[in-house]
Parts: sequence; structure tokens; C-alpha cells
Amino acid sequence: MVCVEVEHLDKSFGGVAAISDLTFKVQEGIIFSVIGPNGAGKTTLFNLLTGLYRPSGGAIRIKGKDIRGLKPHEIASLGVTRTFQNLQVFMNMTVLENVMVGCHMRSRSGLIAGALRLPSVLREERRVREMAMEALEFCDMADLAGRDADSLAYGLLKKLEIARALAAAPGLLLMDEPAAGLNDTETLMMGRLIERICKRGTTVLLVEHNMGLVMGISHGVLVLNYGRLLAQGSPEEVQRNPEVIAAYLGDEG
Amino acid sequence: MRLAGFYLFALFTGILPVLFPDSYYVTVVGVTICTNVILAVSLNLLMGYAGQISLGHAAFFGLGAYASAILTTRYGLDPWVAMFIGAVLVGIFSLVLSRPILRLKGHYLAMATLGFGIIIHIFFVQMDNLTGGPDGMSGIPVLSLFGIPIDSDLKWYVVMASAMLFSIWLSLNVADSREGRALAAVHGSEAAAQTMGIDTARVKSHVFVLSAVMAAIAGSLFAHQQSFVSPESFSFFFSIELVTMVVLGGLASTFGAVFGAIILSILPEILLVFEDFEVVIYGAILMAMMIFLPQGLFVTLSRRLHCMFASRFQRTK
Repeated sequence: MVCVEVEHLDKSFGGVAAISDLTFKVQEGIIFSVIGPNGAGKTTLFNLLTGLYRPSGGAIRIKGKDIRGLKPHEIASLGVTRTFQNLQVFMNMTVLENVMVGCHMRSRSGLIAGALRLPSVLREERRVREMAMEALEFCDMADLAGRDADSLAYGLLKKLEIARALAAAPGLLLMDEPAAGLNDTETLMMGRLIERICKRGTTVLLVEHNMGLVMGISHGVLVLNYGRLLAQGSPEEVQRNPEVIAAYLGDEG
Repeated sequence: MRLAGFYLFALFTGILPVLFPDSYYVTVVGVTICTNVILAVSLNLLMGYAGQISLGHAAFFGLGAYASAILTTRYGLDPWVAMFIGAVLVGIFSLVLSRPILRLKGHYLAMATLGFGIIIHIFFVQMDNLTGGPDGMSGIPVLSLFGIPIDSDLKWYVVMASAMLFSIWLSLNVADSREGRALAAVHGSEAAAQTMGIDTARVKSHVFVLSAVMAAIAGSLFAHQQSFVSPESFSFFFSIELVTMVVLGGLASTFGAVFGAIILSILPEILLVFEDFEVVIYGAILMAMMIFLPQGLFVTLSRRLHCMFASRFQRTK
């Protein structure tokens, strides 16, 4: 089954092309990495896939559904969540509350019912709390549930974003540089976490600069350069591709 | 446990009139405080939780008050029916207003709500044959509850204190609910909130309506309690005062708004002894508080207390 289908995608900002004529497919249930030098358009691609940007041209289909014109929250309701390169943790909440926000789409109660704290709300709150704790346990963060998010160290904040995204029970998780700023041990642990997420049945789309991590866990790799597709294939194929080597090391190398 | 602070505050509000049934500060200033607390708490839902500023909150308060005044005196409706109609009208009005106005952010939202507040105020002043113009409207009938007319200061204290406690309870519940967390998420990071599936325009509009309707009901109660309304009570300055209450107590905290409202309502009464310097000292106190307690009075103090107890507890361990 195809999870993501991108066809002739274009995105330009005031005449500057950030993505041009990009076409690729991602199969369901795999870890698929997007790599490329800085400014290659990786984060732009993620913002297009999550609806934060509108494509200038081309089509994106997620699980067969055309997402053109959909608002970010409507795309999220297709089972797509993400983490951010520059952390977007809700610093005004506790760790548990952050993850409970992740359960937003898996719960129903409205503002008035919540304000009156109706019995149905109480039942749902308990269920949401359980789902959130489950996501925290999956990321080995259950013991931090009561802490204020702004008291967490950087590495833990990265994991918190992942837990929050997992609480939405996504079919597709987009991770923007999950290992950036992590030390070697933390990166290793992050790799294991991503593999466990994939084993749960979530397709993972990964943007990452740490080549050790990318080549170690990916099933497929796509290389972007100046917004264009440079190469695509298995980690081994991509690593042997002379164009990729040139883009990373310079033409003269 | 979740509502421990609320029960303590309710107990305090309940005991006051028993201890001092004849005190001017309890039954007269107390009623004003209760009204201001309801308004500050409702504004805090929008400002503190959702992070959307409003410089026009007094307009909704005024619309509720005038709806009750007009419907009871000109159309002879029962006060409770009038209050209900007023709340529904303000609800619809704020819902229609919310979509375009909440697309704006920061300074622009401040400007738009400011403009809205001023327009409503002008409407109160200019529509003489409906609102009585600058002279206002008098002869608003007495409110009765279960056949008992609310006709004394003490009875009004009971009614307004109950309404206030109810609004605090609502606000505390919202903070601990699905949409309350969604609002805090919008405040924290709108992009992340959207990618978690939150329809940010929708939740913002919901809380805008709730906040407006709470203010409108407070306005209806205010109209009956005063038995007189005039545009003066719903001016731009009162909107600013409400914002000050919320900020002074500490944003995003229900009890912050409560304490901000209490302090700003009591302060002018206490400062009366300074006569001519009243306003100067009032301003100086506000400035000092914001300089030394930028997170707000209540929030800063409760954090300090919390830290103090936590460190002492650890030492004894």
C-alpha cells in the first residue's frame, strides 16, 4: 500500500523555487528518509505535507486522498502528525498535558461540556489520561508526567514532541531532525525509538542530517538538492550514487 | 484536591457576610468585586488561556446590561427571560464577530477589539430612543429569585457571590478540559496545535463566545443590581481596567484574574484617604507591581510559596 504520493510538486516563495517538480512515493509501514544539504527544501516539503504551506503546483496524496486545499488540522485528521525541527513544545503546560493535547482527535467533548464537567467528560478525561500515559511510557518518559515542560532538558523535549505526536495514534509520522543536538548515546536511543514506532505500524518520514542514523534505520532514502530530486533508493544505493557524493562533498572531490 | 483552592475561596466568601453583615466593604464593595471577578475571569479565558487580547470586553458587559434594561423597562419582559435573551443575542453576535476578528493577531487584534468597544459605546450614547443616550436608563425592575425579591445589599451579595463562584468553577473546569488544553496549545504554538488536529479558528471562536456570554450575564445582573445603566460604566477605560486585572493577577491563572479583580476593586476604596493623590498612588502601585512581579501578583507569589515549601520539605527529608 502506498502511504504518500507526491507528483510534480512545486513550491516557490516570491519566485525562488524551494521545491521543483518533485515526484516520489512512500510505501506504508516503512522508515523513509529525506536527506540533502541545508536549504535543499526538506522542511519545506514537510510543511507542504502537513498543510502549513500550500503547494504552488503538483499534487500530494496521503492514503489516496488528495490533500490540496485542506487545512493543517484536516490533514492531521487523516492520521498525519509531525515533530518540528525547532521545537514546538507547549511550554505553558506540563509534560502530561502536552501529550494529552496529542489525544485531541481521539476525544470529543466540547467547551460547554468541559466547563460544566459533565459525567461524560470525566470518563473521557480518564481515557485521555490513560492514552497519554501510554504514549509517555512508550517513550520512557512516564516518570516525568507531572513536570512542567519548560523544566525539561533539550533531549527530553525532543522525546516529548514524539510522545505528543504518538498520542494521536498517527498512521504517518513526520519527524524533522529528531537527532539534531543529541549526543551519540541519545542518537542511538532515538534510532531505536524510531524503529519501535515503525514496528507499531506507523509509517515514518524522516528528515535528518545524521547519516549514521539515516543509513542505519531507513528502508528508503530520497536525496534533495536545491529543491530537486537528486537520487532515490535503498540506503546502499544512495550512498554509492556519484551525484549524491558530489552534492555532499563538492564536485571536485 | 483539584478544586482545593476553590473550596477555600468559597468558604471565605461565605463566611464574610456572616461575620460582617453590616460592613460597607462586604455588602457594597463586595458586590462590585464579585461583578469584576466574573468579568476578569471571563476575559482571562480568552486572554490568559487562549492568548487572544481583547480591549473591548466592557462592550459585552454593556450589551448584556442594556439588553436587560431595554427588554424589562420598554417591553415589560420578566428579568430572567430578558437576561436569557440578552445572553443569546450576545452569543450570536460574538459568534459572528469572532471569525473575522480572531484572524487577527497581537497588536492588530488589540486595535480591532478596541475599535469594537468604542463603536458599541458610541451606540449606547447615540441611540437615545432605545438606550436613553448619555443619561442612561433608570427604573430597571427588581430581580427576584424563587419568589424572593433581591432588594437589599446583603441579598445582592449572596446572588453575586454565587454567580462569581459559579464562573470561577466554570473557568477552572475549562482549564482542565479538552478544549481548554487546545486553547493553551494555541497559546503555546499555533502551528503545533494545528498539526495535532486542533481547528484553531474554531476553538478560539468558541472561547470568544463563552467569554462574551459570561460578560453579558454579568451585565444583566449589574443592571438589576444598580437599577440604572449609563454608557459611562461600559467605556473603553473599563475595558482597559479589566485587562489590567487579568495581567496584574497573572495571565493564564483563574485565581490570578480573581485576585487581580479583587485588588483593583479594593485599592481605590482604600486610597480614598489620600484624597487628591489617590490616582497618583494607584498608578504608582500598579507600576511597581508590574516591575517587581512581572508574572503577576498571584502567580509570582504562589510560585515563591511553592518553592519555599518544596525546599523546606527536602531539607527535612
